[in-house]
Amino acid sequence: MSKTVLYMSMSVDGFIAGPNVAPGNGLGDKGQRLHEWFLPDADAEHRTDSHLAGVNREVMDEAMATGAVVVGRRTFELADGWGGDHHDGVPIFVLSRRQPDPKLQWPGVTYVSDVTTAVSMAKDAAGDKDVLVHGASTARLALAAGVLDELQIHLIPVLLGQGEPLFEDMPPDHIELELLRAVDGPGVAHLRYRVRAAG
Amino acid sequence: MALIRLYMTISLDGYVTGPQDSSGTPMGIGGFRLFNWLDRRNDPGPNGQVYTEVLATRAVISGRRTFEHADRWQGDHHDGVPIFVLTHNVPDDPSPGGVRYVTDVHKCAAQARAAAGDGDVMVHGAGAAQALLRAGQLDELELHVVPVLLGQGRRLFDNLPAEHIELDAIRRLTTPQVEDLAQHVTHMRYRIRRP
Repeated sequence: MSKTVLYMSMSVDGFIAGPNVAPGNGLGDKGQRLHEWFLPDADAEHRTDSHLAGVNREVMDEAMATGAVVVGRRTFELADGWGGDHHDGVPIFVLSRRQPDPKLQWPGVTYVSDVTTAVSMAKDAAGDKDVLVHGASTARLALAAGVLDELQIHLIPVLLGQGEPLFEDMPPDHIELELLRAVDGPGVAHLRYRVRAAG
Repeated sequence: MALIRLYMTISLDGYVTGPQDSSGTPMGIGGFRLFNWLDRRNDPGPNGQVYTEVLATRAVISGRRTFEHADRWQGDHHDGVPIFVLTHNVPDDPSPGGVRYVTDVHKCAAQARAAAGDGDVMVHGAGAAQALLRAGQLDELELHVVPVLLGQGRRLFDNLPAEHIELDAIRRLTTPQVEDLAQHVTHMRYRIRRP
């Protein structure tokens, strides 16, 4: 059955972006460091992950084999909506309570106001494939709603010091996880967890 | 020269205690969940191996808050090795056992290295870790990453400047799948790169 999997690159001190995230600075100041494992040259004209090999290639291929995307409005806008195509033209469900920005509307993009509905629609659209979940606030909402199945954390060996944390402002209820897989690629440890249950 | 290595148990969301930690509730609300892996500290396997390494360190650096919350370890953290407590205010009452209060982080690191001789120095507590990191005196991190999201609590890495500190992952030890899920943990060791 289709699973929802959060894919996020995170520093050892828990940040998924540097400070001062804004339009045009989507990963925050020096936040590109967190994506170097798959995009080593941020300034390259043609950004590509075609050089990836080994473990990093396998994990990236898993992400790109997902059949739908659920993403928060902010992450979607900071990424300019990926031009309407995150990968392979799979349907994208954007979590938002506001009216969509007309500039960020494409045939494959659906705006949904609550996370449970978004995940349900994404699972239907993905069929047998998994659903890729992206963005810190969407991760927290999905966890709180009990609709996140797994976390694929790409743990980057750096302390950013300041930035946007992945986990913040969550209720003090323990959420128990199980480590399903840990593999090490160049410059990154890929930790895959299953969400067991809220404690 | 002795290495200074931080040993801390943290949740995947980066907390070293639950919320509202105090001297009466040193691990905060629900924070003792983090220490389940220590139930296996005397067993063979990764948890026992790491705990043995902790006990092989020859000096301890602790922040004042951790030291007080741990009831000063009654003056003996393990094997009577010297304990260097980093504090802004040296207390008037005599220090118990092998405890020395130090106000300067560089002096604290130098004294602990000297005391450890051929062994290593273990650091405990978020405050001491942050002070040593800022001073460039921390050599390694051994993080016991527990597969739980605590949601709230005291962060291990906080109050650091927005300057990247690059690490090299040098070891990862993971609990075998056959063991009870409640005691699972991933021990991540990092070396801190010098600029």
